[in-house]
Amino acid sequence: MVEFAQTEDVVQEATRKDYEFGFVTEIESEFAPPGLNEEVIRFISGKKNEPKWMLDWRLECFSEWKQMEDPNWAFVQFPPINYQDYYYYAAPKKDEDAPKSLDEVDPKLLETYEKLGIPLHERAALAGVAVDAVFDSVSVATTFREKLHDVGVIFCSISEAIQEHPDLVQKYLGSVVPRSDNFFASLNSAVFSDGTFVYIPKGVRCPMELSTYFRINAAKTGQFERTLIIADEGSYVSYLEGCTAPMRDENQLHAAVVELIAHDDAEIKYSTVQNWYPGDENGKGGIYNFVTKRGACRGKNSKISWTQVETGSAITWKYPSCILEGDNSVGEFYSVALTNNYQQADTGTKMIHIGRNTSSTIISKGISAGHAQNTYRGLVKVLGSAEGARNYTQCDSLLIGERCGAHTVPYIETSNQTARVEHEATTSKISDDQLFYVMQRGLSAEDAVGLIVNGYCKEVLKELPMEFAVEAQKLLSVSLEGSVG
Amino acid sequence: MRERNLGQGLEKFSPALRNYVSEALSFDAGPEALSGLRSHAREALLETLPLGRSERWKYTDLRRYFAKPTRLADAPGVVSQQDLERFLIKGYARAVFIDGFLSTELSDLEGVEWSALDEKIVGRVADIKSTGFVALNSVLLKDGFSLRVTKSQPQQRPIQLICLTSDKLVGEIHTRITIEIEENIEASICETHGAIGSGVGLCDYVIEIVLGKNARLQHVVHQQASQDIHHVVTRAGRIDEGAKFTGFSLLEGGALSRSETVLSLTGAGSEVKLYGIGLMRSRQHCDVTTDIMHEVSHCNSEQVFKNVVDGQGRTVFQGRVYVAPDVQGIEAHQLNRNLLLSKNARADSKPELIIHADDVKCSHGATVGDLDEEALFYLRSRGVSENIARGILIRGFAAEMFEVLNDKTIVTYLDEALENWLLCADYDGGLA
Amino acid sequence: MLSVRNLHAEIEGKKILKGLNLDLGFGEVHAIMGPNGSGKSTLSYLLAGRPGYEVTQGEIYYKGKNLLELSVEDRSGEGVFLAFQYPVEIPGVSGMSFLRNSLNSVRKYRGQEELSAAEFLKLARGKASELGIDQVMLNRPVNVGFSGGEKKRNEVLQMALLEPSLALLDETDSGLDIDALKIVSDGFNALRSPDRSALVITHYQRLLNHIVPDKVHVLAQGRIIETGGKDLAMELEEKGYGMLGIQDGELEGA
Repeated sequence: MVEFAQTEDVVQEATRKDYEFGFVTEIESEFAPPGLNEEVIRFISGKKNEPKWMLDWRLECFSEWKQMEDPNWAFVQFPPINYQDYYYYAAPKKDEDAPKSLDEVDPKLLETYEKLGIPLHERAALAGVAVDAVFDSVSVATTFREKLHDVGVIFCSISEAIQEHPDLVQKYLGSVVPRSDNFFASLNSAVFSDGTFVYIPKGVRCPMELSTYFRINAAKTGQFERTLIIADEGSYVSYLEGCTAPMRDENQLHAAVVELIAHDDAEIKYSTVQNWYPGDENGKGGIYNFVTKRGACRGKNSKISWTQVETGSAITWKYPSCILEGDNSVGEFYSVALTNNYQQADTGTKMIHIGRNTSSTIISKGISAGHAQNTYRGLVKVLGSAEGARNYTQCDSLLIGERCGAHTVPYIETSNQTARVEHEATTSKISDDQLFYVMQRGLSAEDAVGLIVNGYCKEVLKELPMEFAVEAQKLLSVSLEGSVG
Repeated sequence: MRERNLGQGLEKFSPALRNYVSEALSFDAGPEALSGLRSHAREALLETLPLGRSERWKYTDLRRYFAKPTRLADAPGVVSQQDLERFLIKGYARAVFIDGFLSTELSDLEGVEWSALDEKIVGRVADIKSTGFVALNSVLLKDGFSLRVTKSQPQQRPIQLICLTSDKLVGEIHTRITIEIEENIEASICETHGAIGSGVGLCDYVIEIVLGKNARLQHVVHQQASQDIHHVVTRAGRIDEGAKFTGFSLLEGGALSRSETVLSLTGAGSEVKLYGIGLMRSRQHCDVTTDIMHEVSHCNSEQVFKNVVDGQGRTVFQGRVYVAPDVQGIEAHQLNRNLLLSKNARADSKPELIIHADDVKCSHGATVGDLDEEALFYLRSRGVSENIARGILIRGFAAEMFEVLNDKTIVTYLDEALENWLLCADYDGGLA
Repeated sequence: MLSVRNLHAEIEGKKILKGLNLDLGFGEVHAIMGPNGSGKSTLSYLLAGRPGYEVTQGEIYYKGKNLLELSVEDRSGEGVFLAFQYPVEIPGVSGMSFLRNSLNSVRKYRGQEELSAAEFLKLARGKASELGIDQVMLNRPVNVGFSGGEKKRNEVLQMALLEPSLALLDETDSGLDIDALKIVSDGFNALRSPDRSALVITHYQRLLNHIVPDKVHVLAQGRIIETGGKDLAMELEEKGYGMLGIQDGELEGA
């Protein structure tokens, strides 16, 4: 076989490219006092003019959080976080009141989203995609609201939902991720500042893709958004989220909570392209992405499908999960996690089978390059009640370069005789033969690696909505910058 | 003074657990030759004993055991040559342990090189600091022996290590066995763990295995402990350059059993193959934990474990394959299959790949399910009744594993055990 | 021998057979032809009693007994034998052990003496060598690692041992080269007798050159739409199923 040391150099050289979303928007911001205490929580709640029940809930979460310890079981390493170093609230300073329409949104913000490729002007918007844009701690714009309103779909920031739809929020908030679920979820429950709320009424098929674009801009700021999506009986929604942040030397904290609820015959498709700033090639800076995402298939025949492409963040700690309570409910998890340089990812899913004939599919593709550590961690649990449950799991890890690590840690717990659970995993390096073959046909090393990695991830990428799939493909090639073939 | 230091950190445990640990720490009646080992091990005891929650003992909880008052077995029960008969494999030399003590009368070690334990040998590969039973065993062990197969005394007959509990046993056994196979030497060893009558308590064996360059070892285990015994066997091994270790276990458990195998591949061309069958029923709990460490380039491993779980039985498989940074050319495969035969059976599987190098081919797989419907239909369409068909398929599921063994004597020995288990479980395995 | 009346059957709620009628006399061999997905395999599975199929209407009488009331293994004891299109692989179970279990179960059902190991061995070896089946193959796990031809030969060996009165050959010719086809057909033909009947399910006519049927039925859309002599098979081969106004693969399932 051909000696490939040369190829490695070529790849290293060819794939250098900067993080394209690393710019900072110069905009005047308003902050909460730094650090975390009851006063800050009252400040956040007060800023949003929240009802008392919401403030009380936050305070209870805060007192629970204070009793908890950082989780230490994931294969990620970072210096202890001083939670008093962060700002827990940062918002673009404008009028005291939130913008009432897109026309009132600060032009600089609109420009920022234009640069990110997410135009907020409805006329210029991606066809059929409604966007909620969250800038640091607050939602700055939500598009296509009227059109959605016509069919009864509620799509707004969670702050608005607390004001406008308190009954729905009170009923569902914390019902999938209990507020003491884990350290980061509790933290989020205490300090979340904004996020997205979606309600799809009975029998409605949401006429367009809903999307939130998250942007962390302010320095030393944590982002703690909260997303709550409820699909009532027989409804359908496809929801997308994208994330970027400026390049900063210090690590920034992002601890989101996402809760999905699918009732009888409802389906929620949740897609993420996560491209937070990953830090530089020496591992300096980058976002700590500690996220709790969980969906409850409450109703019979309901379905929740998670698709994620994770290329950003210094550390990713994230396990989008499905609780399959309803009979015949379906959970899916499709994931690509790419880590390069000194990135660390510990990600996977939990599929909890409770109802009869529930089924789940897990397809995970991990790609590790440079000095990165990439771990798949997943739980498939079949309870005694889950007659006829089915799970199929396929986890593949690809290693590019000899300094990286790829780890697979599945937990498979089966307490039902009629269940069928199958798990397969492979770990290998990118094939020299494939690289040679592709390059012999004229592709550069960079393109060859990109092509092979994209092919490797195809099973997952095809689950993404079209616009996202294209973006994700580009992202995969770009994120391999400096990797070794 | 010393004990107080060692006991630091004990406060967080219940009084009963504290009691267990302080009694263990105050024990000093083991072999004189191992006093140094004991004092080292005491320091590691509290850290390593699975008294709290730990990832490595996630699915097997011994806290209830440790919380009960217990004592060490101080003398072996009486076992006659006749009692022994049914455990013997014809043509094998044997070392017989009764309630953890070597019985020279019952043993037949002619032509076998062996000696008492000493600190030059003990602790070479079993790490006192690893979470589990090594430190406890080091502190409390009363007996054991060292076995060597060397160029000057190669193996004439395969060796059977027979570890039995008598019905007199009430309490704990802690025993250490070391096995060394010298360079270029081939050996075959079978461990038989059995019970005569129903002893009660804890059996803790630590078995250390060293394979010299190009050595070969076939290591077979048949375990059928008393239903009132907690049975913990820790095997730690080092496999040198070009050496090959083939392990095969047929585990029928005890009340609770844990079989932990930690093998380091420390030389190029070395190879580990581990195969196992677990047969569990009633309320048995069986935990198989393996840790195969590829420390150097060009060494391979393969593991296949199958469990058949009936009644309210529960099996755990935790298999870890580790590939160290900077090594190359590793192939490591792992498969765990579980057959659940009853409504209340449970199987937990955690096959783990921890890979720090890129030139690897690693895989694992795990399945859980009932018998294959299609195969059942096929058999029944040939006139075989459903119960017999199930028996045939269960038997096939397990017996398929025997194909990796070339040793006819051993296959017959294990097959009989499998057949007996099926008969006891009311699955007529069909005609052999 | 066999009488099927107005048979309606479905799998997982999907209707496959919709009023099938069929009469098979003693000693007769009928061929069932039809496009893919017409329900041919469903019919053979139903007759053998495979779980998962639901008969919603109609009845099947076999030698005067209500076949649908019998368990899978009792049907086998009664002499119904299905030669599978895809014989199932059973790892860990040796062919000999399987055959002996099977033969003795059936003999027991029929009130015959069970065979001793030695008697069985002699019988099995004899039959196997007639079919050109290697001893080594018999000792291997059932169908594991067998070629397509070996699997089909193994099916015929089982048939020869169990001596069924109703043989169902489900696409037995698929995956066979011409030599293997001949061995398998010869094996079958040797078993033909006035008290044995067979249904030969096939997509192609070529098998019927070797196993000559008394009647040929065309199954489409869940029922028999045409019945004729062996010439019908020739005609279909030439003109295709289109001549009956149906297309191959027009129906899903089965």
